[in-house]
Amino acid sequence: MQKLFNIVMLSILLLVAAQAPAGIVVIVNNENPVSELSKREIIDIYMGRNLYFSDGKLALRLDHPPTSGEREQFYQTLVKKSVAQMNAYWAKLLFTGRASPPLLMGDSEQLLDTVRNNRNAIGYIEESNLDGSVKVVGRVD
Amino acid sequence: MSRNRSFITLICSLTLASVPALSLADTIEQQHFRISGFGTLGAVKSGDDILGFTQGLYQEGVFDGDWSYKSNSNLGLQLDATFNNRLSATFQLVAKERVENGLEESLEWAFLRFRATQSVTLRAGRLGPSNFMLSDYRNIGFAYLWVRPPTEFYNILSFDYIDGMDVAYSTPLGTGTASAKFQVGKTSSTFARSDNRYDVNINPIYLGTLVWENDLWQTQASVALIEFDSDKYVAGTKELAQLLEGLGGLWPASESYLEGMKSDGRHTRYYSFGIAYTPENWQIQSEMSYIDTNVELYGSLRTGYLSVGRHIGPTTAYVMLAKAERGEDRKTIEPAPTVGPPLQPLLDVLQVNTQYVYDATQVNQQSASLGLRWNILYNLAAKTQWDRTWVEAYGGGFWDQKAIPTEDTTIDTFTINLNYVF
Repeated sequence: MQKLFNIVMLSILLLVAAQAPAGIVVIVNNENPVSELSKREIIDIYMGRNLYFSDGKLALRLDHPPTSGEREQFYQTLVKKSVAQMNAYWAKLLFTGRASPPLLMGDSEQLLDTVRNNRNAIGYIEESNLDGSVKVVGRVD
Repeated sequence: MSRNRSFITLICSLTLASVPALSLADTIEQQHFRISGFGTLGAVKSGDDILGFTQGLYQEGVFDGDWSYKSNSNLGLQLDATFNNRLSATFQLVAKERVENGLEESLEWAFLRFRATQSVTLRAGRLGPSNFMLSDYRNIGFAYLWVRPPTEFYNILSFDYIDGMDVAYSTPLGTGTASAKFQVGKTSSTFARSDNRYDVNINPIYLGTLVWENDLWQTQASVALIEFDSDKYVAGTKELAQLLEGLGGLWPASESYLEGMKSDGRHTRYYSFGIAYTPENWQIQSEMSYIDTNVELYGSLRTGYLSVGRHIGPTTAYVMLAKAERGEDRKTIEPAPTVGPPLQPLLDVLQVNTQYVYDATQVNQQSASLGLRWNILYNLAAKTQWDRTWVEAYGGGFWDQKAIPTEDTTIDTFTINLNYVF
């Protein structure tokens, strides 16, 4: 009986652990020579202040849909701004012709696929969605 | 008016036509071509019987505490085309209330952008002026906190665009990014005042801006030099000036008044400084400017504002204080000399009109504002704002004046806006 109880408790604990909020990781293509990006570098790229990787290549910045949990968590953790506040920020940059916002992806799968197939792409996904086909260069948590 | 309506209809049609393109633009294959837009649906209640509220000199006033649905409303459509990693182009059309409102005026941006290096960007064509913090996105209500950029500070910036070129340099500096921009070009605009229209041409414009920003702070300092490239006299004073010129020595003092109305080849300099601080739940911003000119009729102007906003969930409540103050005292035009009939009535009328044009450009006012912004969706915000403005006697130059206010006046302005981007 005690053994059964332990198994049930362990299973519950494992289930809870699996459902805990996953960390967000920043990913690039495997062929990208960049091995690590600091928080500051990630902010500069995603706030449109620096559009280039250190090797001089123009970064293809990718974003999740406006209503997605990943997007909310990414910007809230990175710069403490809501999706609407980030949209207001990007409206300023886009409509003054300074920079375009990151390219919108349909979902994590499309984003992962785009990073996999574009040498200069950069994106972010939940760590649990990693499949080894892209390179992790930063973590946002 | 019908031309305005048909133009707005055209913009609405273009917007609807762009919807399929928007979904295409979301895919990787279509990244070379992006259509986006913005708009404001606004209602403003303001003015009294002699002072009409305007967002800028290019609009007719809202008088008698009436509601206006045109003064604050606009719709913009932007096309960005990326040719390669270095070269891109941007076109932006904005439909809004203007006294002169053809395609020429509605084309806000049309420029080519060339990224020469990672740090240096060149643009040429029709560009936004960058001398104040909001000067190149005044139409994008979704991008700023208030229902409009502060009137006391932004009404003096009477042109929307520069036809010319600019070069910008940016580099990491300390914990943030520093950038420098130099713009050169020309512009023109049509003003509405007292049921009259005046064309104003400015050529050249030189504009230098330094910006430093990080996640919390944004600071900006700029200097602009403009030269009026128009008639000999300030727009709207030509007929009066010609009559004064015709007087010969009949009214000796009029020569100095004429001199004060001259604008050709004269300079105006804008010096401005702005700072914004945006910690997690706050949005604090202030700008100050000093505008100096050797066009005596305009005189110098000191302007500034301070705004403090507090985010509470999806809403932001804010207060703002703003002031615009003329540097010189009111110029009193001395009585016309006594010459007797038949010229006396003419001289007396000229004296009154000279006093009028000198008074009409005087600006002395301050405002206190309370407002609320609510982010309803990630791309839709509702805003409301109440401004109480104290306009000093003879200080109504930022208003559409049916007559010169000879007493201090208090005017309340109520605004409700829906701002969106797509």
